[in-house]
Amino acid sequence: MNLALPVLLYAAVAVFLLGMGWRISWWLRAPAPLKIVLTPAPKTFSGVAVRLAGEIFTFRSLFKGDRYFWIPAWLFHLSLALLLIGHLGGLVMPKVAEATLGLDESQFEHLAQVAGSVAGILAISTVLWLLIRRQVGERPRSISHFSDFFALILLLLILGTGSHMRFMGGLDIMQARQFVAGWLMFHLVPPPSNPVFAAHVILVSVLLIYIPFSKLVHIGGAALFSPTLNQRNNPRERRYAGPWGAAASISKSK
Amino acid sequence: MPTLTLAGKEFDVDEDGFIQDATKWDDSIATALAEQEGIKVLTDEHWKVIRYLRDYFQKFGSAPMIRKVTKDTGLPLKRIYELFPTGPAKGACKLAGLPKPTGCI
Amino acid sequence: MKAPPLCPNIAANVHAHRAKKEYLEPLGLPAERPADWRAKALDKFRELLHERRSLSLYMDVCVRCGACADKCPFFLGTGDPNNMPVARAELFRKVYRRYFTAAGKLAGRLATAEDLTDDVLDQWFTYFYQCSECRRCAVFCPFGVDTAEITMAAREIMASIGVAPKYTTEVIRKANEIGNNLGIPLAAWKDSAEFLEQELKEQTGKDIKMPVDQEGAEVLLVPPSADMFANADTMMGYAKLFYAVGVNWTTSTYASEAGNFGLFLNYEQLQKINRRIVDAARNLRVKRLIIGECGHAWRAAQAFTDTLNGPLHFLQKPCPEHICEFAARLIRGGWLKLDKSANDGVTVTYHDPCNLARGGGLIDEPREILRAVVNDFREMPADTIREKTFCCGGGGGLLTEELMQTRMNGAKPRVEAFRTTGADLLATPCAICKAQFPEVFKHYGVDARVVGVMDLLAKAIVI
Repeated sequence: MNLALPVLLYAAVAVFLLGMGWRISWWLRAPAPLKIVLTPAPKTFSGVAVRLAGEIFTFRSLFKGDRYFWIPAWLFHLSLALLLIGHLGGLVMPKVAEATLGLDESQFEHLAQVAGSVAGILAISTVLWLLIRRQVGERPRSISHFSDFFALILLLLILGTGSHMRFMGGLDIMQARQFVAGWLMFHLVPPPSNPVFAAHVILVSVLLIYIPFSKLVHIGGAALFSPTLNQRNNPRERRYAGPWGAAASISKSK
Repeated sequence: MPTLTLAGKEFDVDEDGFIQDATKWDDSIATALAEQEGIKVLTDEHWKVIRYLRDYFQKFGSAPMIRKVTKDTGLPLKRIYELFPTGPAKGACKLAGLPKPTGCI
Repeated sequence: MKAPPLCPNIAANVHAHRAKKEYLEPLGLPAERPADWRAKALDKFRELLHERRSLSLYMDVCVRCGACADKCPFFLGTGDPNNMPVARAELFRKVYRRYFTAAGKLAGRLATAEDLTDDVLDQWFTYFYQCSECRRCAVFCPFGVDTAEITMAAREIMASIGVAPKYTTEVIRKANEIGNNLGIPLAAWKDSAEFLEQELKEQTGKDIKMPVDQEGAEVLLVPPSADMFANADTMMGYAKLFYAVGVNWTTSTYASEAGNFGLFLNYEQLQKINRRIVDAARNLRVKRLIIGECGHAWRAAQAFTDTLNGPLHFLQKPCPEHICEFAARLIRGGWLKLDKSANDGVTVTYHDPCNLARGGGLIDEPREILRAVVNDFREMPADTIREKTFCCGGGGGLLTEELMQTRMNGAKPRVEAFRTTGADLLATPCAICKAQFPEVFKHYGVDARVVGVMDLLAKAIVI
C-alpha cells in the first residue's frame, strides 16, 4: 500500500495546526497597550459580540465600502464554508449527517449531489471572479503580488479536481469514506485508485501547509483579534490597564 | 543651516527663510526680506505691524495673538493680508525677524 | 468622489523638512542617523511587534483585497498608488516579511520581501508623512486593519534612528519646554487672556473672565494653544459658555495645550505630553477636566489618559469631557438661553474631525449644538460625514508649509463634498482643521469661512 498520500496529509494537518497555533499565540502574546477602538463602537461585551459576528459572517465593513466586490468575496467564502461542511458530512461522518438531517441514504446522496454541485460551481465562479478582478481592475492589479495569484490558483486547482470527481464521476465514494475513516483512526486503508483523488489530496495538503505562512492566515481570526474591532468603547468608564501594566511599551522604549 | 545674505550681511535662516537669531534684526533686514515676500515697498502700515510684532516679541518672547495685532494696530485682518500676502503669522513675523510660529495654525 | 487613475510616483517628491540636532536631542532621539541604523531600526521594529498586537496582527492578515484603496483622501487627491492604504502599509510589510517571516527569508522577492535600504527608508519618510492617521481606511477593512497604527509604528522606528520631521519634533519640544505647541510663554498667555476679557467686555458689556492658573477652580479647560493665538472667537466662546452657566473654570499655563503631537511621533512623547494635563489638574485641585476644540487631542485625552497617566480618581466622571459634550448636555437640560437668529444669514455645514468621529465617538453632540443655534444647517453627503468623514488634509502632523501640496491633495474629497451643500460657513471643532481649511478654500477657489462650534454657540447664547 502506498503510504505517501496519507502521510503527506498527516504532515500537512500537523503543520497547519501547529502553524496556526504559533501565529495566533504570536498575535496574542503582544499586548494591546491602548484603546484604539474604531468609533462609533459598542460599550458592552454583547455589543462587541454583535459587531464581530457582523464582520465575520456578513463582512459588514466590506459591504459598506464596496458592494460590487462584496458579492464575490462573500459568496466565495460562503461556498468554501459549504464545501467544508459538505466534506465533513459526506466523507467524515455520513451516518451522523444522515441522522441529523433525518434522511435515508439515497436521499442524503441526492442532497450531497445537488448541494455539492451548487457550492462547487459557486466557488469556482467566484474564484474566477476574484482572479479576473486582480487582473482587470487597475487598483487591484497594482496591489496584487505573486502570492495573491498563487493562493487563488491553488484554490482553483483544488476546486477543479474536486469538481472533476463530482461531475465526471470516477470516484468510489465508499472507498473514499473508508480511506478517510481509516486515516482518522490511524488505521490506514488504501486510498481510492482514482489519480484525480490523489491530486486533490496533494493540493489540499499544499494549501494546509501554506496557510499559516501566508496571508491566508487571516482565517485564524483576523477580525476576532483586531483591537480596532474587538475592544469596548469605554475608556472613561473603566480604566483600561492590563497585566502588562499601564504602559509597557512606553517604559520599555525609554 | 542655510544662510542668506541680507543687506550685505550673512544670516542663518531656517528652511522657510526665517532668520534664526532675532537679536540681529534691524530695519534693513525687514526691507531686504520684503522682496522675498513679494512686497515692493514697505509702507507706514507695514512698519506699524512690524514694529508692533517686534515690541511684543521683545516684551513677551512670542508673537502676539492675531486678534490683538488687528486690534492694537487698528488694521483689519483683511488689510493685513493685503499688506503681507502670506498673513500675519508668516510674512509679517518673517519681516519682523520673529521665529516662525508653528503648531496648529 | 470617483477614484482617479493611477499616477505612479506623482506624490513621491513632497518631503517634510528633516529635524536636525536641536529638535531631535531634546526628545531623546539620536542627533543623526547612526552607522548601524538598519540594525537599530530592525530592533525597534521587533520591539514594537512584541508590544503592539495591532501591529503584529496587521502585518500578517491583510489579504490585499483593496477595499481601502479608494477610501484614502490622499490617494483620491493624487492617484499615487503608494497612497492607497494597502500599498502604503505594504511599504512597511515588505520589510516585515524580509526580516520577520519564514516566507520572506526563504523566498525573498517572490514573497514580496525587501531589504531595509536607504531607498526604502526614503519611501517611508515620504509616504508615512502623506498619511494623516485619519483611519478612514480602517472603517471599510473587513479586519479593521488600521493604517494609522502602521504609520505610527513606521514613524516611531524612523524617529528611533534620528529620522523625523522638523515640524513635529519642534512642536513637541515646545510642548515639553513651554507647555504648548505654539510656544506661547506664561506672560503672553496671561496677556492674551486679559485682552480677550476686554474684547468680551466690549462685545457683551459683561465682566466675563478668562481665568489663568486659578487654583481650586471647578473645571480645568485645556484648549489647543491655537485658540489662544488664531481662534479668538472659539476661546471667547468657552468663556461665554462657562459664564452663562456660572461655572468656575480656569486654563493652565503648565498644560496650555490639548493637542498631543506624540500621536504623530512616538508613544513616549504621547505619554509625556498627556502627563502635563493630569499634573495640571492635580496641582490646580480642579474637580473636572474639559478638553477644547481639537481633534487628535480628544482621541489622546479620552482614550489614553487613564491608561497612560491614571488612575484619575481625583476627577469627576466623565473624565475628560469634551467641550461639545458639556455644551450639548447644558442645551439638553435647558440651561442655556439661545437665540438662533444670531446666526442667521449664513448657511452652515459641519465637518467631522477624524479623531472626534473615528477616534473618540464624538459625532452627535456637535450636531446637537449646531441644530440648536443655527437655522440653516445642512449636512454634507452621507458617505463623507460621521465615521466616514474625510480628513481636512492637514492632520497627523502634516500641517506644515513644505507639505502644502500633500495637504491640498488630501483636502480634495472634502472640498468636493463641501461644495455640494452650498454652505458658506464650515463649522468644525478642531484647531488643525481650522488652520487647514482657509488654505484649502483659497487653493480651490471656494468662498467660505471656517469657524468653531463654540463660535456659533457663543453668538447665540443670550446673557
